[in-house]
Amino acid sequence: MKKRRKIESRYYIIIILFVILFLLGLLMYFVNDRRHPSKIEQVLQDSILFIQKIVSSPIHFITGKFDENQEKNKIYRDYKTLEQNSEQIESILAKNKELESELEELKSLLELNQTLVESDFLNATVVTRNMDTWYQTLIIDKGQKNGVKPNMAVVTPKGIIGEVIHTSNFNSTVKLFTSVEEDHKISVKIETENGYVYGLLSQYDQSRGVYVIEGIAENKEIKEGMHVITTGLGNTFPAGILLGSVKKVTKDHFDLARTVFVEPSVDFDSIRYVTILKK
Amino acid sequence: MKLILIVIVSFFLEATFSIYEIPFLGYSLFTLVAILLCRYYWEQEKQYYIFCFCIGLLYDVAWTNTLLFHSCLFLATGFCFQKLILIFSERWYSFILTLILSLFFYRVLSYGVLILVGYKNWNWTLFLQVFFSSFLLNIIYGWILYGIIKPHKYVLNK
Repeated sequence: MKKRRKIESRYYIIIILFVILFLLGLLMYFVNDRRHPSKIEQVLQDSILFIQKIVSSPIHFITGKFDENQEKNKIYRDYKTLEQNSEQIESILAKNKELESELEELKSLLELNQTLVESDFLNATVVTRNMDTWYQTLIIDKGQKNGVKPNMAVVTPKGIIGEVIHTSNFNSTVKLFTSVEEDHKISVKIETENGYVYGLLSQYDQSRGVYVIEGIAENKEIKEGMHVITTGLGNTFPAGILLGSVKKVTKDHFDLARTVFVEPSVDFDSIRYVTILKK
Repeated sequence: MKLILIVIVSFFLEATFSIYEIPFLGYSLFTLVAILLCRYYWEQEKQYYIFCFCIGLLYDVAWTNTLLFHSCLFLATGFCFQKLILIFSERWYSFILTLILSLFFYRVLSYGVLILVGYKNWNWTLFLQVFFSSFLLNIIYGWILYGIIKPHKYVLNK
Protein backbone atom coordinates (compact mmCIF):
# COMPACT_ATOMS: atom_id res chain seq x y z
CA MET A 1 0.00 0.00 0.00
CA LYS A 2 2.83 2.35 1.06
CA LYS A 3 4.77 1.50 -2.08
CA ARG A 4 1.73 2.33 -4.20
CA ARG A 5 1.34 5.74 -2.50
CA LYS A 6 5.03 6.43 -3.06
CA ILE A 7 4.63 5.70 -6.76
CA GLU A 8 1.56 7.93 -6.91
CA SER A 9 3.37 10.85 -5.24
CA ARG A 10 6.22 10.40 -7.70
CA TYR A 11 3.74 10.67 -10.55
CA TYR A 12 2.30 13.79 -9.02
CA ILE A 13 5.74 15.40 -8.82
CA ILE A 14 6.44 14.48 -12.44
CA ILE A 15 3.09 15.91 -13.56
CA ILE A 16 3.63 19.13 -11.58
CA LEU A 17 7.14 19.50 -13.02
CA PHE A 18 5.79 18.91 -16.50
CA VAL A 19 3.05 21.53 -16.00
CA ILE A 20 5.60 24.07 -14.66
CA LEU A 21 7.91 23.45 -17.63
CA PHE A 22 5.01 23.73 -20.05
CA LEU A 23 3.91 27.02 -18.45
CA LEU A 24 7.47 28.38 -18.57
CA GLY A 25 7.63 27.46 -22.24
CA LEU A 26 4.38 29.29 -22.91
CA LEU A 27 5.54 32.32 -20.94
CA MET A 28 8.81 32.35 -22.84
CA TYR A 29 6.71 32.89 -25.96
CA PHE A 30 4.24 35.37 -24.46
CA VAL A 31 6.61 37.47 -22.34
CA ASN A 32 8.49 38.87 -25.27
CA ASP A 33 8.70 42.44 -26.54
CA ARG A 34 8.80 41.27 -30.14
CA ARG A 35 5.56 39.28 -29.93
CA HIS A 36 2.76 41.00 -31.80
CA PRO A 37 -0.59 40.85 -30.03
CA SER A 38 -3.37 39.01 -31.86
CA LYS A 39 -6.35 40.88 -33.35
CA ILE A 40 -8.57 39.92 -30.39
CA GLU A 41 -5.96 41.21 -27.92
CA GLN A 42 -5.67 44.46 -29.90
CA VAL A 43 -9.44 45.03 -29.92
CA LEU A 44 -9.69 44.23 -26.20
CA GLN A 45 -6.77 46.53 -25.39
CA ASP A 46 -8.24 49.37 -27.44
CA SER A 47 -11.60 49.01 -25.71
CA ILE A 48 -10.10 48.94 -22.20
CA LEU A 49 -7.85 51.91 -22.98
CA PHE A 50 -10.85 53.82 -24.30
CA ILE A 51 -12.64 53.28 -20.97
CA GLN A 52 -9.42 54.14 -19.15
CA LYS A 53 -9.23 57.47 -21.00
CA ILE A 54 -12.79 58.34 -19.91
CA VAL A 55 -12.27 57.18 -16.32
CA SER A 56 -9.01 59.05 -15.89
CA SER A 57 -10.06 62.27 -17.64
CA PRO A 58 -11.33 64.08 -14.46
CA ILE A 59 -8.08 63.31 -12.64
CA HIS A 60 -6.00 64.37 -15.62
CA PHE A 61 -8.06 67.54 -15.89
CA ILE A 62 -7.36 68.55 -12.28
CA THR A 63 -3.66 67.69 -12.41
CA GLY A 64 -3.49 69.37 -15.81
CA LYS A 65 -4.68 72.62 -14.27
CA PHE A 66 -1.91 72.46 -11.65
CA ASP A 67 0.69 71.70 -14.32
CA GLU A 68 -0.67 74.52 -16.48
CA ASN A 69 -0.20 76.99 -13.68
CA GLN A 70 3.36 75.88 -13.06
CA GLU A 71 4.06 75.97 -16.78
CA LYS A 72 2.73 79.52 -17.05
CA ASN A 73 5.14 80.69 -14.35
CA LYS A 74 8.00 78.91 -16.08
CA ILE A 75 7.08 80.38 -19.48
CA TYR A 76 7.06 83.87 -17.99
CA ARG A 77 10.54 83.36 -16.57
CA ASP A 78 11.75 81.95 -19.90
CA TYR A 79 10.15 84.85 -21.74
CA LYS A 80 12.10 87.31 -19.66
CA THR A 81 15.34 85.45 -20.42
CA LEU A 82 14.52 85.22 -24.14
CA GLU A 83 13.70 88.89 -24.27
CA GLN A 84 17.28 89.61 -23.31
CA ASN A 85 18.62 87.21 -25.97
CA SER A 86 16.27 88.27 -28.80
CA GLU A 87 19.00 90.17 -30.63
CA GLN A 88 20.79 86.89 -31.42
CA ILE A 89 17.70 85.28 -33.00
CA GLU A 90 17.92 87.18 -36.29
CA SER A 91 21.47 86.02 -36.90
CA ILE A 92 20.62 82.43 -35.93
CA LEU A 93 17.66 82.42 -38.35
CA ALA A 94 19.82 83.69 -41.16
CA LYS A 95 22.44 81.07 -40.43
CA ASN A 96 19.78 78.36 -40.27
CA LYS A 97 18.42 79.38 -43.68
CA GLU A 98 21.89 79.32 -45.12
CA LEU A 99 22.54 75.84 -43.68
CA GLU A 100 19.22 74.55 -45.02
CA SER A 101 19.98 75.68 -48.56
CA GLU A 102 23.49 74.25 -48.24
CA LEU A 103 22.03 70.90 -47.13
CA GLU A 104 19.60 70.85 -50.07
CA GLU A 105 22.47 71.60 -52.44
CA LEU A 106 24.65 68.84 -50.98
CA LYS A 107 21.77 66.37 -51.12
CA SER A 108 21.20 67.07 -54.79
CA LEU A 109 24.94 66.78 -55.43
CA LEU A 110 25.12 63.39 -53.67
CA GLU A 111 21.79 62.28 -55.12
CA LEU A 112 20.48 61.53 -51.62
CA ASN A 113 16.76 61.06 -51.15
CA GLN A 114 16.82 61.05 -47.41
CA THR A 115 19.16 61.99 -44.58
CA LEU A 116 19.36 60.39 -41.18
CA VAL A 117 17.72 63.35 -39.49
CA GLU A 118 14.54 63.37 -41.57
CA SER A 119 11.25 62.22 -40.07
CA ASP A 120 7.61 63.26 -39.66
CA PHE A 121 6.25 64.11 -36.26
CA LEU A 122 3.16 62.82 -34.54
CA ASN A 123 2.19 63.99 -31.08
CA ALA A 124 0.59 61.59 -28.61
CA THR A 125 -0.61 61.50 -25.02
CA VAL A 126 0.47 58.85 -22.53
CA VAL A 127 -2.60 56.84 -21.53
CA THR A 128 -0.87 54.68 -18.97
CA ARG A 129 2.52 53.56 -17.88
CA ASN A 130 3.12 49.87 -17.44
CA MET A 131 2.66 49.53 -13.75
CA ASP A 132 4.72 46.45 -13.25
CA THR A 133 8.12 48.03 -13.05
CA TRP A 134 10.06 45.27 -14.74
CA TYR A 135 8.90 46.19 -18.24
CA GLN A 136 9.35 49.99 -18.40
CA THR A 137 6.78 50.64 -21.09
CA LEU A 138 4.23 53.35 -21.85
CA ILE A 139 0.95 53.08 -23.71
CA ILE A 140 0.17 56.06 -25.94
CA ASP A 141 -3.05 57.07 -27.68
CA LYS A 142 -1.88 56.75 -31.29
CA GLY A 143 -1.82 53.50 -33.21
CA GLN A 144 -1.86 51.88 -36.63
CA LYS A 145 -4.71 54.14 -37.77
CA ASN A 146 -2.38 57.11 -37.28
CA GLY A 147 0.43 55.44 -39.18
CA VAL A 148 2.43 54.30 -36.17
CA LYS A 149 4.57 51.22 -36.72
CA PRO A 150 6.92 49.19 -34.52
CA ASN A 151 10.53 50.44 -34.18
CA MET A 152 9.60 54.12 -34.57
CA ALA A 153 11.51 56.44 -32.24
CA VAL A 154 9.65 58.30 -29.50
CA VAL A 155 10.88 61.60 -28.12
CA THR A 156 9.90 64.39 -25.73
CA PRO A 157 11.05 68.03 -26.07
CA LYS A 158 13.96 67.15 -23.77
CA GLY A 159 15.21 64.17 -25.76
CA ILE A 160 14.65 60.62 -26.89
CA ILE A 161 12.87 58.19 -24.56
CA GLY A 162 12.41 54.93 -26.42
CA GLU A 163 10.83 53.11 -29.34
CA VAL A 164 7.45 51.70 -30.33
CA ILE A 165 7.29 47.94 -29.83
CA HIS A 166 3.62 47.07 -30.33
CA THR A 167 0.76 48.76 -32.10
CA SER A 168 -2.98 48.21 -32.07
CA ASN A 169 -5.52 50.19 -34.08
CA PHE A 170 -5.71 53.15 -31.72
CA ASN A 171 -2.84 52.66 -29.24
CA SER A 172 0.84 51.79 -29.17
CA THR A 173 3.26 50.47 -26.60
CA VAL A 174 6.56 52.31 -26.17
CA LYS A 175 9.55 50.61 -24.61
CA LEU A 176 11.58 53.09 -22.59
CA PHE A 177 15.35 53.29 -22.75
CA THR A 178 15.43 52.68 -19.00
CA SER A 179 14.98 49.02 -19.87
CA VAL A 180 17.99 48.86 -22.18
CA GLU A 181 19.86 45.64 -21.48
CA GLU A 182 23.15 44.40 -22.80
CA ASP A 183 21.63 42.59 -25.77
CA HIS A 184 20.05 45.77 -27.18
CA LYS A 185 22.65 48.38 -28.14
CA ILE A 186 22.07 51.90 -29.49
CA SER A 187 24.58 53.77 -31.61
CA VAL A 188 25.44 57.18 -30.08
CA LYS A 189 28.04 59.93 -30.38
CA ILE A 190 29.49 62.35 -27.85
CA GLU A 191 30.00 65.95 -28.90
CA THR A 192 33.55 66.81 -27.81
CA GLU A 193 35.62 69.91 -28.53
CA ASN A 194 37.61 67.96 -31.15
CA GLY A 195 34.68 66.36 -32.96
CA TYR A 196 32.51 63.36 -32.26
CA VAL A 197 33.38 60.27 -30.26
CA TYR A 198 31.29 57.28 -31.32
CA GLY A 199 30.10 54.52 -29.04
CA LEU A 200 27.36 52.05 -28.22
CA LEU A 201 24.92 52.65 -25.44
CA SER A 202 24.85 49.25 -23.86
CA GLN A 203 22.58 49.55 -20.82
CA TYR A 204 20.74 51.71 -18.34
CA ASP A 205 22.02 51.52 -14.79
CA GLN A 206 18.79 51.68 -12.81
CA SER A 207 20.44 52.13 -9.42
CA ARG A 208 22.40 55.21 -10.55
CA GLY A 209 19.86 56.44 -13.08
CA VAL A 210 22.41 56.72 -15.91
CA TYR A 211 23.02 55.25 -19.36
CA VAL A 212 26.27 53.36 -19.83
CA ILE A 213 28.43 53.68 -22.97
CA GLU A 214 31.19 51.10 -22.90
CA GLY A 215 34.37 50.39 -24.81
CA ILE A 216 35.36 53.85 -26.09
CA ALA A 217 38.90 53.48 -27.40
CA GLU A 218 39.34 56.94 -28.97
CA ASN A 219 41.66 59.32 -27.14
CA LYS A 220 39.61 62.49 -27.51
CA GLU A 221 38.97 64.18 -24.21
CA ILE A 222 35.46 63.65 -22.86
CA LYS A 223 34.35 66.14 -20.25
CA GLU A 224 31.44 66.22 -17.86
CA GLY A 225 28.36 67.92 -19.34
CA MET A 226 29.12 67.11 -22.99
CA HIS A 227 26.04 66.19 -25.01
CA VAL A 228 25.33 62.63 -26.14
CA ILE A 229 23.16 62.27 -29.25
CA THR A 230 21.98 59.49 -31.55
CA THR A 231 23.99 58.76 -34.70
CA GLY A 232 21.12 57.62 -36.91
CA LEU A 233 22.96 54.39 -37.64
CA GLY A 234 21.07 51.17 -37.18
CA ASN A 235 18.00 52.50 -38.98
CA THR A 236 15.84 52.87 -35.85
CA PHE A 237 16.55 56.27 -34.39
CA PRO A 238 17.12 59.40 -36.50
CA ALA A 239 20.40 61.23 -36.04
CA GLY A 240 20.95 64.18 -33.77
CA ILE A 241 18.43 63.48 -31.01
CA LEU A 242 19.62 64.31 -27.53
CA LEU A 243 20.00 61.42 -25.09
CA GLY A 244 21.65 63.21 -22.20
CA SER A 245 24.92 64.65 -20.98
CA VAL A 246 28.11 63.05 -19.73
CA LYS A 247 28.11 62.59 -15.98
CA LYS A 248 31.24 60.56 -15.37
CA VAL A 249 34.04 58.90 -17.33
CA THR A 250 35.96 55.88 -16.03
CA LYS A 251 38.79 53.80 -17.47
CA ASP A 252 39.02 50.01 -17.52
CA HIS A 253 41.67 48.05 -15.58
CA PHE A 254 44.13 48.10 -18.49
CA ASP A 255 43.67 51.79 -19.24
CA LEU A 256 42.65 50.94 -22.80
CA ALA A 257 38.95 51.68 -23.05
CA ARG A 258 36.70 54.15 -21.31
CA THR A 259 33.20 53.81 -19.93
CA VAL A 260 30.99 56.89 -20.07
CA PHE A 261 28.03 57.37 -17.75
CA VAL A 262 25.36 59.58 -19.24
CA GLU A 263 22.69 61.41 -17.31
CA PRO A 264 19.40 61.24 -19.30
CA SER A 265 18.00 64.58 -20.40
CA VAL A 266 14.48 63.28 -19.81
CA ASP A 267 12.86 62.73 -16.45
CA PHE A 268 11.45 59.23 -16.97
CA ASP A 269 9.18 59.50 -13.94
CA SER A 270 6.96 62.19 -15.41
CA ILE A 271 6.23 61.67 -19.09
CA ARG A 272 2.77 62.83 -20.10
CA TYR A 273 3.11 63.82 -23.76
CA VAL A 274 5.40 62.38 -26.41
CA THR A 275 6.23 62.77 -30.09
CA ILE A 276 6.58 59.82 -32.44
CA LEU A 277 9.13 60.21 -35.22
CA LYS A 278 7.56 58.59 -38.25
CA LYS A 279 10.04 57.32 -40.80
CA MET B 1 -21.06 42.68 -7.63
CA LYS B 2 -19.54 45.03 -5.03
CA LEU B 3 -16.30 43.05 -5.11
CA ILE B 4 -16.04 43.17 -8.88
CA LEU B 5 -16.66 46.90 -8.80
CA ILE B 6 -13.87 47.41 -6.24
CA VAL B 7 -11.44 45.43 -8.37
CA ILE B 8 -12.43 47.28 -11.56
CA VAL B 9 -12.05 50.68 -9.86
CA SER B 10 -8.62 49.60 -8.56
CA PHE B 11 -7.73 48.31 -12.02
CA PHE B 12 -8.35 51.72 -13.63
CA LEU B 13 -7.01 53.67 -10.66
CA GLU B 14 -3.71 51.82 -10.95
CA ALA B 15 -3.46 52.75 -14.62
CA THR B 16 -4.38 56.38 -13.93
CA PHE B 17 -1.85 56.85 -11.17
CA SER B 18 0.89 55.04 -13.06
CA ILE B 19 1.80 58.15 -15.03
CA TYR B 20 2.18 60.34 -11.96
CA GLU B 21 5.31 60.38 -9.94
CA ILE B 22 4.49 59.74 -6.29
CA PRO B 23 7.72 60.44 -4.36
CA PHE B 24 8.72 57.98 -1.62
CA LEU B 25 5.53 55.95 -1.97
CA GLY B 26 6.69 53.63 -4.72
CA TYR B 27 4.89 51.61 -7.36
CA SER B 28 1.19 50.87 -7.25
CA LEU B 29 -0.24 47.35 -7.35
CA PHE B 30 -3.82 48.37 -6.59
CA THR B 31 -5.43 45.61 -8.65
CA LEU B 32 -3.54 42.90 -6.82
CA VAL B 33 -4.30 44.47 -3.41
CA ALA B 34 -8.02 44.64 -4.28
CA ILE B 35 -8.03 41.03 -5.48
CA LEU B 36 -6.40 39.86 -2.27
CA LEU B 37 -8.83 41.82 -0.11
CA CYS B 38 -11.72 40.22 -2.00
CA ARG B 39 -10.77 36.85 -0.58
CA TYR B 40 -12.41 37.84 2.73
CA TYR B 41 -15.78 38.00 0.96
CA TRP B 42 -15.56 35.20 -1.53
CA GLU B 43 -17.32 32.10 -0.35
CA GLN B 44 -16.17 29.66 -3.00
CA GLU B 45 -12.42 29.13 -3.06
CA LYS B 46 -12.45 27.70 -6.57
CA GLN B 47 -14.46 30.65 -7.93
CA TYR B 48 -12.03 33.03 -6.26
CA TYR B 49 -9.08 31.46 -8.10
CA ILE B 50 -10.96 31.69 -11.40
CA PHE B 51 -11.61 35.36 -10.62
CA CYS B 52 -7.89 35.96 -9.89
CA PHE B 53 -6.96 34.30 -13.17
CA CYS B 54 -9.50 36.31 -15.20
CA ILE B 55 -8.44 39.67 -13.72
CA GLY B 56 -4.82 38.70 -14.38
CA LEU B 57 -5.70 37.92 -17.97
CA LEU B 58 -7.42 41.29 -18.36
CA TYR B 59 -4.36 42.96 -16.83
CA ASP B 60 -2.12 41.15 -19.30
CA VAL B 61 -4.17 42.12 -22.33
CA ALA B 62 -4.78 45.73 -21.29
CA TRP B 63 -1.52 46.88 -19.77
CA THR B 64 1.38 44.53 -20.28
CA ASN B 65 0.98 42.51 -23.51
CA THR B 66 2.26 39.50 -21.61
CA LEU B 67 -0.52 36.97 -21.99
CA LEU B 68 -0.80 34.42 -19.13
CA PHE B 69 1.98 36.00 -17.07
CA HIS B 70 -0.12 38.04 -14.65
CA SER B 71 -2.93 35.51 -14.82
CA CYS B 72 -0.59 32.90 -13.34
CA LEU B 73 0.98 35.41 -10.95
CA PHE B 74 -2.35 36.67 -9.59
CA LEU B 75 -3.55 33.10 -9.26
CA ALA B 76 -0.41 32.04 -7.38
CA THR B 77 -0.50 35.14 -5.14
CA GLY B 78 -4.20 34.55 -4.41
CA PHE B 79 -3.34 30.96 -3.48
CA CYS B 80 -0.51 32.16 -1.23
CA PHE B 81 -2.82 34.74 0.40
CA GLN B 82 -5.45 32.05 1.01
CA LYS B 83 -2.90 29.87 2.81
CA LEU B 84 -1.62 32.81 4.87
CA ILE B 85 -4.99 34.07 6.10
CA LEU B 86 -5.70 30.64 7.49
CA ILE B 87 -2.69 31.10 9.76
CA PHE B 88 -3.33 34.67 10.92
CA SER B 89 -6.27 36.21 12.78
CA GLU B 90 -9.06 38.36 11.31
CA ARG B 91 -7.78 41.70 12.64
CA TRP B 92 -6.72 44.55 10.33
CA TYR B 93 -3.05 44.29 11.32
CA SER B 94 -3.12 40.62 10.35
CA PHE B 95 -4.44 41.67 6.96
CA ILE B 96 -1.56 44.16 6.58
CA LEU B 97 0.99 41.51 7.56
CA THR B 98 -0.56 39.00 5.17
CA LEU B 99 -0.58 41.63 2.45
CA ILE B 100 3.12 42.37 2.96
CA LEU B 101 3.99 38.67 2.76
CA SER B 102 1.84 38.24 -0.35
CA LEU B 103 3.44 41.24 -2.06
CA PHE B 104 6.84 39.81 -1.17
CA PHE B 105 5.80 36.50 -2.73
CA TYR B 106 4.46 38.29 -5.83
CA ARG B 107 7.64 40.28 -6.38
CA VAL B 108 9.97 37.32 -5.89
CA LEU B 109 7.88 35.09 -8.14
CA SER B 110 7.49 37.66 -10.92
CA TYR B 111 11.20 38.49 -11.02
CA GLY B 112 12.11 34.81 -10.78
CA VAL B 113 9.87 33.87 -13.71
CA LEU B 114 11.13 36.80 -15.81
CA ILE B 115 14.70 35.63 -15.26
CA LEU B 116 13.77 32.01 -16.05
CA VAL B 117 12.11 32.95 -19.34
CA GLY B 118 15.11 35.10 -20.27
CA TYR B 119 13.32 38.46 -20.22
CA LYS B 120 15.46 40.01 -17.49
CA ASN B 121 19.00 39.60 -16.27
CA TRP B 122 19.62 39.16 -12.56
CA ASN B 123 20.37 42.47 -10.89
CA TRP B 124 20.43 42.74 -7.11
CA THR B 125 20.05 46.51 -6.94
CA LEU B 126 17.11 46.55 -9.33
CA PHE B 127 15.42 43.75 -7.45
CA LEU B 128 15.86 45.41 -4.05
CA GLN B 129 14.82 48.79 -5.43
CA VAL B 130 11.59 47.45 -6.93
CA PHE B 131 11.01 45.15 -3.98
CA PHE B 132 11.16 47.85 -1.29
CA SER B 133 9.22 50.36 -3.35
CA SER B 134 6.31 47.92 -3.62
CA PHE B 135 5.10 48.17 -0.06
CA LEU B 136 4.28 51.62 1.30
CA LEU B 137 1.76 52.82 -1.29
CA ASN B 138 0.07 49.43 -1.54
CA ILE B 139 -0.18 48.97 2.21
CA ILE B 140 -1.78 52.41 2.50
CA TYR B 141 -4.18 51.54 -0.31
CA GLY B 142 -4.96 48.16 1.25
CA TRP B 143 -5.56 49.78 4.62
CA ILE B 144 -7.93 52.39 3.12
CA LEU B 145 -9.77 49.71 1.16
CA TYR B 146 -10.03 47.55 4.27
CA GLY B 147 -11.47 50.53 6.15
CA ILE B 148 -14.01 51.28 3.42
CA ILE B 149 -15.34 47.77 2.92
CA LYS B 150 -14.83 46.43 6.46
CA PRO B 151 -15.08 42.66 6.27
CA HIS B 152 -18.00 42.19 8.69
CA LYS B 153 -18.85 38.76 7.55
CA TYR B 154 -15.96 36.36 7.64
CA VAL B 155 -16.73 33.75 5.07
CA LEU B 156 -13.59 31.68 4.94
CA ASN B 157 -13.78 28.01 5.72
CA LYS B 158 -11.11 27.64 8.35
